Amino acid sequence: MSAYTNDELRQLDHVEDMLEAYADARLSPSGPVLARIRANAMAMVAASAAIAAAIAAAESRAGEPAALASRWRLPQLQVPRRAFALGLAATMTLGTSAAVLAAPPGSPFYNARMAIEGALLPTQVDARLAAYEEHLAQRVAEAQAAAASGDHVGLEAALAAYAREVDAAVSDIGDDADRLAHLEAVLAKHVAVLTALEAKVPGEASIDRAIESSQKAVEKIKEKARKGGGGRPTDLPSGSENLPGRD
Amino acid sequence: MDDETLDRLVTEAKAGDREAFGRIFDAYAVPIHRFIASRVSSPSDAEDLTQLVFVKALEALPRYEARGIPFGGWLFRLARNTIIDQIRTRRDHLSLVAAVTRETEDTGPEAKAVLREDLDRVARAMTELTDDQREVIALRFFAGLSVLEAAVAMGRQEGTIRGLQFRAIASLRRSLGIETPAHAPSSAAAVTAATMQVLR
Repeated sequence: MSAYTNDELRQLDHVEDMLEAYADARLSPSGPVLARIRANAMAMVAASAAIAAAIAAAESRAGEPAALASRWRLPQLQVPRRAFALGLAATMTLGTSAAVLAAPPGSPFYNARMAIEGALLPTQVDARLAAYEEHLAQRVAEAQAAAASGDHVGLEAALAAYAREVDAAVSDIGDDADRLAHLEAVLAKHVAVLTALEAKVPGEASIDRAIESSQKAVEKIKEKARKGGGGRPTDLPSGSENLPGRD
Repeated sequence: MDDETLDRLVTEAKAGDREAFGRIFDAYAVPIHRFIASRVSSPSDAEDLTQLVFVKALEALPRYEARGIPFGGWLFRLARNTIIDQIRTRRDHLSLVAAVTRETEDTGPEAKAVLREDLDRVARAMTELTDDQREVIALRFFAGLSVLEAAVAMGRQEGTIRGLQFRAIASLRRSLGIETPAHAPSSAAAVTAATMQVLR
């Protein structure tokens, strides 16, 4: 049984309502902010897990932890592996370890680097598309470099990352005809480069898969353009002359 | 999210399950952000610190053991310590007037003005509270913690939290011009009980 009258209870309700309205309007994160926090936090989780797994795998290969510690210069590692991995992931995300952020394909940190790059993509669509384009070009360049040096593992890693980023880009940039046309043109160039690469390094299944991935993505783009009704990408001039913010 | 589900997710997250950690994030991100935003001076700090709290949580999770300590209380204690570290490091000051106000898009200009005025009144009323009272209000009403969780987060007894909350609500009612009851209950305990009943 409450000691308050109904009027008094209504007044208390009123205070609660005002606090809730205040929290909702002035303290809650907006959708994009929440998405950004989540992406960054989860990238940290992914990077931490990838680094921990890489350390575990290297430990396993080396046979004893001391060998790895020596290799990674962690002889006085007193913290749990997970905490270390998280710290390293945080360091990477904060950008204070440029060397690690430049991890080459096939290195233990490459997947972590991909996760972080993905999490740090800009939110504005044109900037995001430009970042995707840059990342895809990097993956292709990494694949070419790996193929030139006979690095089979690096080639596979770069092209697997390429295929994932192609899928992400297609699903991420919406239905705008200009953007779709631009991405289609970019992918067409990549197909040409990868086909030339395949001729130099015959029998590499990873190159076949990457080409197939790009071709499927182009089909998806065409399908999207048809459904979107915003124009047919293939009808537009190739290149990106008409894209906002582009030369 | 019920306690059983939360316990399961915490166990899975401790074992390294990313999806479980993601679901914990989804359950607590908004309350944590609300709490932090009520305690720091800028929205960008609130965003950065919210992210940092979850990174710290991931790191500390293997050491978390329930044993009567609710997870929410544990997590908000991390958040509280993170804010304190920030204030110490940057000599920041507490501010309760966030720079950004979001109203719904379908709100008309008059309603927006009234809403903004109401929100400003709440912000001003909050400045009349003591720091402890403000923290209790933030934990209980902005973040939605139970009394036990708030007590764990602040490292205080539950009775202390109830007392702080009672005095904070009384102060807010005065500041907001919400009339004091004509026939006030005879004891603070009775008031607290009624307040708790209404405010959960």
